[in-house]
Amino acid sequence: MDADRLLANLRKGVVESCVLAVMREGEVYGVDLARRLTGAGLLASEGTLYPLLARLRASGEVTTRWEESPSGPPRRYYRLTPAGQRSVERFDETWRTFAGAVDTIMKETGR
Amino acid sequence: MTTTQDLPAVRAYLDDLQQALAARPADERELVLDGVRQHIEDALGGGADRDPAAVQRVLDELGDPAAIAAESGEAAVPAPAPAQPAVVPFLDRRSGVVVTALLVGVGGFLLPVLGWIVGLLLLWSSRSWRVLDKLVGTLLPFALTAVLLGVAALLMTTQIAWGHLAILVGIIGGTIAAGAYLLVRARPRG
Repeated sequence: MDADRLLANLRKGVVESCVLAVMREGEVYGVDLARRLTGAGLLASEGTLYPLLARLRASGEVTTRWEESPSGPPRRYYRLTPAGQRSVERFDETWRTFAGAVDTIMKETGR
Repeated sequence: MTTTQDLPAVRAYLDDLQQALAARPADERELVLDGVRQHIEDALGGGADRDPAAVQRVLDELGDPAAIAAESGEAAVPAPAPAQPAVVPFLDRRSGVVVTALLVGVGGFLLPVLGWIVGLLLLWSSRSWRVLDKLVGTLLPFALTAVLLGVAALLMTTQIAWGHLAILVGIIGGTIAAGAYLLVRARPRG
């Protein structure tokens, strides 16, 4: 499997949780979220954030709010619901264990 | 007021995205389109920045509409059906089994007849006994009574009292024996 394909597969299971994780810091608006996750290498491109957000809204883990902007049109803010909060905490815990296990096996077996 | 959506490059991009999302459910498509529209709006500072190069950069960073649509079609790992709570119904737990067996065995003496009937209802609702054991637990008093009456008849006892004694011992001994039998035969689930 080439590196791009491998990376795409690895992202699949975790990127939604990373979206939720950013919102733990407080509400965000789409552009900031997209740039941060793309910058971190977690999204292939900024636009792929929006299907994720649509899914997270549909599943009730994320909710949105409009805020009037002094300069320009109102902006949409995204934030965690209590269900989203629980999801990301569960992921955080599971991820740390899992990442630690992968790390250990790679270190033990690597040259 | 003109918005960024009036820019030809933006319009073309959104049209492409709409096309790419055509197969997705309408509500999901709207959420995605709406998010991307808003993103462009925000990234271009509410339409103030009309420099074509800047517009193109925003669209480039959004990425190929086909990639966005592919992400949209990508069902996340489906959430497993909510796990059945691992609560074993009271009747199937050890305590439920003991209560049931005691009611069958001595319930009828504590609360005449009714206690025994309640015990039987619990017994037949429980999954901790096989049907054969339930039958034994239910019929044992009758069977024992029948046997004792038979013995009394064989002994040619004409005295009614012996018949009464056979019935009394059969019923009492049979129910207690049934309760004990059920205690031994139970297979609690939890």
